[in-house]
Amino acid sequence: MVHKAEEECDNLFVKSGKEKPETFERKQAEYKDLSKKFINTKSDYSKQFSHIYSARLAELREALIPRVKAKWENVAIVKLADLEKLENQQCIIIGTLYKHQQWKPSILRELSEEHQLSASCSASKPNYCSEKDQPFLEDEMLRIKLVGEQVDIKQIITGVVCAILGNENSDGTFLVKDWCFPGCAPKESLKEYTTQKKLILVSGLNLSNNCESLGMSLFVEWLCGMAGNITIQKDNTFIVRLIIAGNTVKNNDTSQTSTNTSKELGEVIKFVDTFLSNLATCCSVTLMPGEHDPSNAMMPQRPFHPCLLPKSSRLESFKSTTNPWVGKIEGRIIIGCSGQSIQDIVKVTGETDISPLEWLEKSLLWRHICPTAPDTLLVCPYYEKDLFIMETCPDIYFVGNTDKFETKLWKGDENQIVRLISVPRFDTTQTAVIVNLDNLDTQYISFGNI
Amino acid sequence: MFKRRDVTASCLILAKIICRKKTRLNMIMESLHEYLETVAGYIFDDDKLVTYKWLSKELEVHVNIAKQILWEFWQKYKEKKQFECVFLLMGHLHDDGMRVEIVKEKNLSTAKEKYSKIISKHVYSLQKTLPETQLLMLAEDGDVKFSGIKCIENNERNDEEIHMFRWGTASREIESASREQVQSSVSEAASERKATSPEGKQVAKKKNADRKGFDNLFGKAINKQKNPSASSNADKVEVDSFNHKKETSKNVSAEKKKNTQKGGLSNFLELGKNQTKTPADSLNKGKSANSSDKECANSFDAEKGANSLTKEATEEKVSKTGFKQIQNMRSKKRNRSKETNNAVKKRKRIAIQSDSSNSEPSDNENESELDLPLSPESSPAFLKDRSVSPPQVKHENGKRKVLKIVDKTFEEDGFLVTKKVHVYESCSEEEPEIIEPKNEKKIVSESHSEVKGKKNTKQTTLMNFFKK
Repeated sequence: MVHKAEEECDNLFVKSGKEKPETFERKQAEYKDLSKKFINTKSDYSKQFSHIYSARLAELREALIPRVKAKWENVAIVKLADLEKLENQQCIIIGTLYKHQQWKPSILRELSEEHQLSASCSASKPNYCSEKDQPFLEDEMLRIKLVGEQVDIKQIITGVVCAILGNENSDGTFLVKDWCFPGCAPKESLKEYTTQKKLILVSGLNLSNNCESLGMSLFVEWLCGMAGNITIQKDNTFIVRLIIAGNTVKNNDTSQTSTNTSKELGEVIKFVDTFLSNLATCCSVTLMPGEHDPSNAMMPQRPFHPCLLPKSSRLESFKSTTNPWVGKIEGRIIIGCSGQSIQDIVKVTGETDISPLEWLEKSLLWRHICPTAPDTLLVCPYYEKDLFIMETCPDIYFVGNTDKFETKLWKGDENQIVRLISVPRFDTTQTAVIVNLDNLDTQYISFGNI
Repeated sequence: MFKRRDVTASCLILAKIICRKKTRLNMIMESLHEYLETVAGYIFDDDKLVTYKWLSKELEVHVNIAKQILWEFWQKYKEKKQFECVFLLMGHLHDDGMRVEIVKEKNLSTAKEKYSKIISKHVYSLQKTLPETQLLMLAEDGDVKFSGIKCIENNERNDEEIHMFRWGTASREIESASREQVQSSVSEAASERKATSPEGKQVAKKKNADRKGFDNLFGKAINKQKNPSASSNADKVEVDSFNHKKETSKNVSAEKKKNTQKGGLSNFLELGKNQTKTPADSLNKGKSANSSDKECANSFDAEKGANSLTKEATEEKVSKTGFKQIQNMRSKKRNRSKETNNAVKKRKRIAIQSDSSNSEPSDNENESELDLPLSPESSPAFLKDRSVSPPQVKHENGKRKVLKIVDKTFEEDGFLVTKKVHVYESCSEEEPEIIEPKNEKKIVSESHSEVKGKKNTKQTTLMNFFKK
């Protein structure tokens, strides 16, 4: 009988010669959470946000100057205040891009709409764009309007630090001839990776609506080594960690207006806790909060409080972490965001044709995880340092909660190799992403039924 | 002859158990037939969705064995009987992705087309009928411990780590104070996890139900229509968890008394206080399992007190209707107004009583709020009392002593039943401390110490307040 079974179902079954059904041990991986800097931010909300911009500009200017000098030799770098003296000669200015947008979130407009002083028309807008948008570059003291054929208003993202080659026009605008961005941060060291270990990335589990999903249970069965045959179970022991990139609890803000919302949320969180503790008994889990999760709304989002997930927090294999998250697994540096940063960039540009992956790549070149903060993205008013500047080049850089799976192996000028991944929402796509830590090979795995 | 057969049968069972431990597989091969029969029962008699994960949990076998059992079953019966089989396919797609999906047997060939390579196919579930594979999401989850992968990193953090983890280093100073609380809550969380078995859940449910009943007892309006059900609930738990072999007739009479006693009590207490307390309780009830567990334990204490009330009452064979007792209460009130000194004592006792009843849901937030309005009105009595007779202050601090002396004074005062009632009330506050060690440990051993500690701190804070 056993042999008959084996014929059809390859080596699924235990051979009668063996004593016990095989159970494999999951591999362990060196894990280091490097996002301490996000947790230790001072909760001092009395500060002005402008400090962020000046800190950002100061730090990235240092990175820009050598690049600018290499790119445009013998052109003077001037401050905006000194432009007048140059009398329209070609020069380089370094500053932060600013796009003046009429429809970006504004507390004053909200207030006036609330009091019906102005007509409400921002509610229906999917982005902040209008035809009156204007690009500026600003440094510590002044701002100057950017003009020229090189200026594509769609590509201007507020908060990005860059250097511009060009000259001042007589009307006080700046004619742009070329751009220079800080570029990808340098790689710390080049190492040989020989581990076969793998990571799984998921996002947008949305357990409040998706708790009884077949895809979800198949995913759990696959990850925990229940489904499949012995070969698959053995292969899956190389999965060393599951990273959940945000929106585990909820996926949108359509909180039911009913009075028992908080009660429902409590129930959902209990379910999430059970779900995660089940997963964590079989696999190491890193949980990042997302836009709609019960964490703080401001970036950086803090980890879920251990009391919120009492069962999961008991397990050492369960790590609750920040959003964005920086970590090191088996020597690979991983930077990830639950999605807000890229979503906000998309809103600022108003461009729907450009995939999140491209913005991810660009933000790598900008050397900044979320440039639109603090302009349109909520952020803590930290003032000593811009936390979101990428100090080192990651090996894996991902964004969660996108519409579809995309990936790209990005290669930089200085031998940087970065795996860019856009991790799709699980609740709509039923898809998870497998990343091989050895060669950064990435593939998706989908779950479902017919 | 029969006996002998029994012996051999039990020997066989023993042997089987040993065999199972040693070589589970052989056992499975031998008992495969049995398993197949069981599965047939699940499918055809119980009309269950028999998934491999559920089966492995149910039969406590490795998931791969469960898959094997289902496969054997399918092989054996697919010709003979009508049932549906759902397969799980896993493989590489043409675009370098992977897919895991479940497919009905009849769709298997079309489903296979989209794969470039199928790396696994096995039976996912068997069931009589399945209109939609989507329905399989309703199937019960399996147990990870029977899976093919073990993770050795899933050690549990110990209590200390958890505490540090939860509250950080900043909480060092208050650590000692909250220590007990955290530990007990943690252990409760652990016990809660253990109690996921159906029986455990049921017990918990009963506890809750009982609590509700008890709250009603303490609630402001002793609604006579409500009472029978409430107290019958209470009795259930008495029988269930305390194994008190009480005669039901006794209970019935006791109930009535208890109710009226409580009625009198609540008359004594500020009605408003109880009112504020009950909504808070019902809030807690719904939400946090931890706190409700604790409260359960507490309510058990108080219940114990109430029990002892009723017991003693019956022992003394004071057979009176509730109505009469209410009358007695009134008369007692009158008596008290005459004897001012006694009244002061009683007043004080009552104040403590009400305090302890407030502190019952000891992790209740509005506990302090409840205390504040209470103390001003009762403080004059306290102060007066203390200045007159210092020894009683001593007794105040040592609760048990107070209890004894109070008992005596009541006997001196007279033999009115109403007086007795008051003695028991004070017992209901203080007796738990004596009873607790015996009964409390049966339920949640940790919560005992916590309750005790809380009560003590409660008392001292109250006293501090009065000293001012």
